[in-house]
Amino acid sequence: MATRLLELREKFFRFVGRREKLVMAAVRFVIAFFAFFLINESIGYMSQISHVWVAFLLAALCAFVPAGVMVFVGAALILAQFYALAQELCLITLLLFILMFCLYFRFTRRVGYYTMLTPILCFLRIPYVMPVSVGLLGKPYNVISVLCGTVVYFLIKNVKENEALFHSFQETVAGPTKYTLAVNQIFVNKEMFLYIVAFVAAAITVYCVRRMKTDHAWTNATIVGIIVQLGVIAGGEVYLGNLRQLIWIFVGGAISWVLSWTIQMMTHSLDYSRVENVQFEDDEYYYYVKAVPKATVEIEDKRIKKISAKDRRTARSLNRGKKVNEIHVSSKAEVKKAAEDELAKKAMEEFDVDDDWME
Amino acid sequence: MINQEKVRDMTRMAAYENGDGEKEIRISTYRKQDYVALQLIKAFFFGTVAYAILLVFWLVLQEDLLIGIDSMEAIEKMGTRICVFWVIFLAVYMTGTFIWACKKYNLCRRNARNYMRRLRRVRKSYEKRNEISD
Repeated sequence: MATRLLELREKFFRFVGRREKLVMAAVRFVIAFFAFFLINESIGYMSQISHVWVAFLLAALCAFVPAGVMVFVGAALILAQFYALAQELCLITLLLFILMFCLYFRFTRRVGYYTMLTPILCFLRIPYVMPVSVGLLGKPYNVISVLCGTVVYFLIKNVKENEALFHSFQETVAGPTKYTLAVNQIFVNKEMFLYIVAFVAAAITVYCVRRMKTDHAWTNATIVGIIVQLGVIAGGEVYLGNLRQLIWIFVGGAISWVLSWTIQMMTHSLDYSRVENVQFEDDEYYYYVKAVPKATVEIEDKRIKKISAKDRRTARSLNRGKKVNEIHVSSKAEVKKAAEDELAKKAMEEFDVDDDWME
Repeated sequence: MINQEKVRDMTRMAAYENGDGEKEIRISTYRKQDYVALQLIKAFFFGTVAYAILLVFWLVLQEDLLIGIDSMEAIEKMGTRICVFWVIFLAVYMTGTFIWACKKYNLCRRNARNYMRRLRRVRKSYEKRNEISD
């Protein structure tokens, strides 16, 4: 089973390696399309851009540009949809995106995938894989991009649930304004803060556990990461009284663990049965080294070439007297001459005669 | 006969140039203190913008607090508190930017140095070949 999985992994890497540009473009297209489609489905207040073809075209554009452009287009789409609902909400959301840029996105690159994937996985109820993958594949501070995606998801979710309030809102002199209503969608949401705390705790825990020098550290890290998240979120939902969410949380956690284990197997598969402990020294230090070999399998590169009898005769007649693959293929005349030379040599050996008597 | 070392060096150089190489070489042309100073100036502006946005959010959420302010003394007290928090926020933000800028500069410098070393090696192999042909 493990060998089969490793073979599949090698075949997958070989497939991706040969068509890297095409595969990366396809991945960006799929992520962008799902993100834009979900945005339009959830908060499609502007009918002109809520059509599925708009999401398709935007995703096709994002397939051939860096991931940062994908994030920018997604943000612009959200702002446009919010503008159709309430201008105050659009302004507050714009300020929120500028804040995210100032505090995090201007310092780092290559965060588009985490930020785009987190809301998609939140919609699918399996967001727990994101902090684990951040802890396995990156540094703990990369979880901030996951948190940005989480904030965006909860903002969209809250606006969708409270859109009637925006439609029927009547401003009074002494009462709250639409700005207050808009800011409340972002900050007055205890469930969002619960998920943020769980994701940060999981990312830090996974990072610390996978860097330990114990055997199967990465596998332990994925398990611990999922358990930490489930513990914090389930406990928080019970405290908030959302008991119906518990089933979704545990099912999502199980699926997220499978996905996390797949990521770990694809990126970091070690064979702990062949560990070597060696010691050596140089002029400055004495080294204690533990070497763990990577688990790989050789994939047979089979090439099946069918040769019919007719093809064989044709090939032989075409290749007579020529060099084929660095091997000289003898013609009929050369074969005959070689046979005569061999016969003459045997005759001379038998009668013990030199060549000179022939002259 | 293909010089494998040269091909290896040139492939790595091409991969570096296609990726972050251009940006990193440009950064490494700065002196470290100039680059860090530039990043700190940018951090001052972006930090102030970020603080202003957080302040706006806080003021919108604390509308009742604003309604209760009716004297100059209260306004002065609030203004002082806002300025103090602005200074603390900027101090933390610019410290983080300083650490990030130093690390980034060191990384860019190291990568650019490796690139230059490979470039020198390839140039030497061409010079050697020209000497032999002469």
